[in-house]
Amino acid sequence: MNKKLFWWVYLILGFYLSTYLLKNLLLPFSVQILEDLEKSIISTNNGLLIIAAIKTIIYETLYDLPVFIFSYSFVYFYFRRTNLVPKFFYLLVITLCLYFITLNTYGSVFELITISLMLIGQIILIAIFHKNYDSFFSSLFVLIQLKLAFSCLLLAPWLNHYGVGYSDLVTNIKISASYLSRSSILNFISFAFFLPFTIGAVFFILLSILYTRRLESEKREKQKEKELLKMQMLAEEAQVWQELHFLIHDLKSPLMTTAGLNSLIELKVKDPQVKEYCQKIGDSVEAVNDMISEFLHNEKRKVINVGELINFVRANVIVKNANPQVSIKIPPNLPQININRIRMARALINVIENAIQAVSSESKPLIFIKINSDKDNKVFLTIIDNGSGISQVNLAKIWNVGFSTKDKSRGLGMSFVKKVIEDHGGLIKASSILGKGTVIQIVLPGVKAND
Amino acid sequence: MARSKPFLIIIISLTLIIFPNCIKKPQVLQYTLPHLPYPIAKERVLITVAGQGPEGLVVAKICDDLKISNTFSYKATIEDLKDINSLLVAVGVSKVGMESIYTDFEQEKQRIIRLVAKANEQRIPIIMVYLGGSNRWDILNQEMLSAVGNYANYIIAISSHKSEDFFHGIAMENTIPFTLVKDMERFYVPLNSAFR
Repeated sequence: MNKKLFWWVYLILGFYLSTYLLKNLLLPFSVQILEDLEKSIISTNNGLLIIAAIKTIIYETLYDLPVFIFSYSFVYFYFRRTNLVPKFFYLLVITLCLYFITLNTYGSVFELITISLMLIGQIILIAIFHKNYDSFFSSLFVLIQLKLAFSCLLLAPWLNHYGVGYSDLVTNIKISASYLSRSSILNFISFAFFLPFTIGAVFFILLSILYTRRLESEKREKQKEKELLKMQMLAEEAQVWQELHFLIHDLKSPLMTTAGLNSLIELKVKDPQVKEYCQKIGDSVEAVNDMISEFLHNEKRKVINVGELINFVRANVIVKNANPQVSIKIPPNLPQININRIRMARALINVIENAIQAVSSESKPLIFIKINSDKDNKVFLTIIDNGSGISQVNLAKIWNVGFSTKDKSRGLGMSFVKKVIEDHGGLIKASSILGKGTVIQIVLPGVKAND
Repeated sequence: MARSKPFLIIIISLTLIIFPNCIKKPQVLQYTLPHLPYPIAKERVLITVAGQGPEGLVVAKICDDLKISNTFSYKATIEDLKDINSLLVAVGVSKVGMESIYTDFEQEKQRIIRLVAKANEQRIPIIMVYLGGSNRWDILNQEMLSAVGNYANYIIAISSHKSEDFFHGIAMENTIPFTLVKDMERFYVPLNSAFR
């Protein structure tokens, strides 16, 4: 159902139904109050008068409580994005409308002072709690407490001169108390209940404000901690990369020595077989040297076939626990791609190794690598597995540095993959169904004829 | 400060609405006959309430206190007038009271009119009392008071500035004595004077 429509149905239908039900439920209760009152007059029993008076407070509280609950909750949620002043206006209008509907339908007496006090109470609560939607029930509790407090005032004969306490049942109580010469008791009960309820409501508001502020500060602290952790992870990642660079760079020196000595051997020996071996050693050293250069320098790109990349990846994937059935489909006439082969291969290896790990517990582990292209020369690499899948909550976090569901992982893998793909002007997307599998789709720009 | 401005304006406006109502002072009643100079009613008296408020029971208890022999019935009918020398009708229309015996205002009014008309026909003196003061002062009670007032021989009412003219009007219209009192304590004397 439309959310806006829901709130209007809630206001109109909910209000009518709850008011109707409440009136019917309160009828036996009002009869009980009249019986208590009758007994108190017959036996001149003050105790019964007090019981009837307390029951009347409850009756008067419940009688038009739906008016305030429905108007308050409606304005609270329906006008949540509205400014405070219009919100006050809507609150006044809706409360008065519902109040007059109740008066006309059930014929009670218009109590100007109590309705005004309730309106002031509602406005104060909206002003305090309008930003904290978690505090709705706390504020509703305070509202009911205030209604109870203002209903107590109805009983005070002292306030009669000020237009308070003219409803039917309250009048019955006042006439009986007047006969029993116990109007002072009613004044006492009225204020004895009014004060604690009002003070309680004020304290509850103060406590709620303190609690909300504490929650907010805790939230801020947590956010700061999160940011700090992220920064730490980034710093750590940067350090790892730097060390890796140094390490790979250091590999170059022994390689140079090997290449130099190999050239000397090649010059000194006469045996053509040995010369051929030396040639092969030289080629291999050069290949390793190229790989190191590519790894160290991101901008080093080569135009290669997709099949070449996939074969390189296939040769380097290490299968540990599972032996999944890997199906790779490479259609002919794919556009070539301009990539840093080593980095891109490392990224794909990462994705495939994750897929292998995900299917390790499956009885029929399957990994499907699909490659195709579109008319814009974009190359689509899709890696599909039937593994354990990723929850929607975790799916949103997989690209974050430091996020991992594995115990021994540092959580750098997928952030590295994303970085490499984006460095190549590509895109990476992940979708998953928990228990059914995961799909990772990589889009890379292909090389056009005029490039 | 700027953010709390509209909030303050609304609170002040509401206070201004309430305030004039609060400062209204009750007017001083212009009291009428303090009591009757001679009795107009005899015992035994039938007491009933017009509107099912607790006023009927309260009047019955006051009669007990004054040693006035009485019979009280919430739903007295013309059959109850047998062996009765006077009728005392306490007007107090209470919706809750009527709902508790599953009746409504029209039915209640018809019952009372039949009763007072029959009593009038049998020359039974009728005393109308009203204990509601300003609390009960609404259209339904005024309608019931007018209906009973047309047959009454004496009116005693706890009155307020709102109702004073109304009782004065009924009494003048039907040329009957009436006593307006301020509270329940002052109600005993005029009631006693109607019987003794």
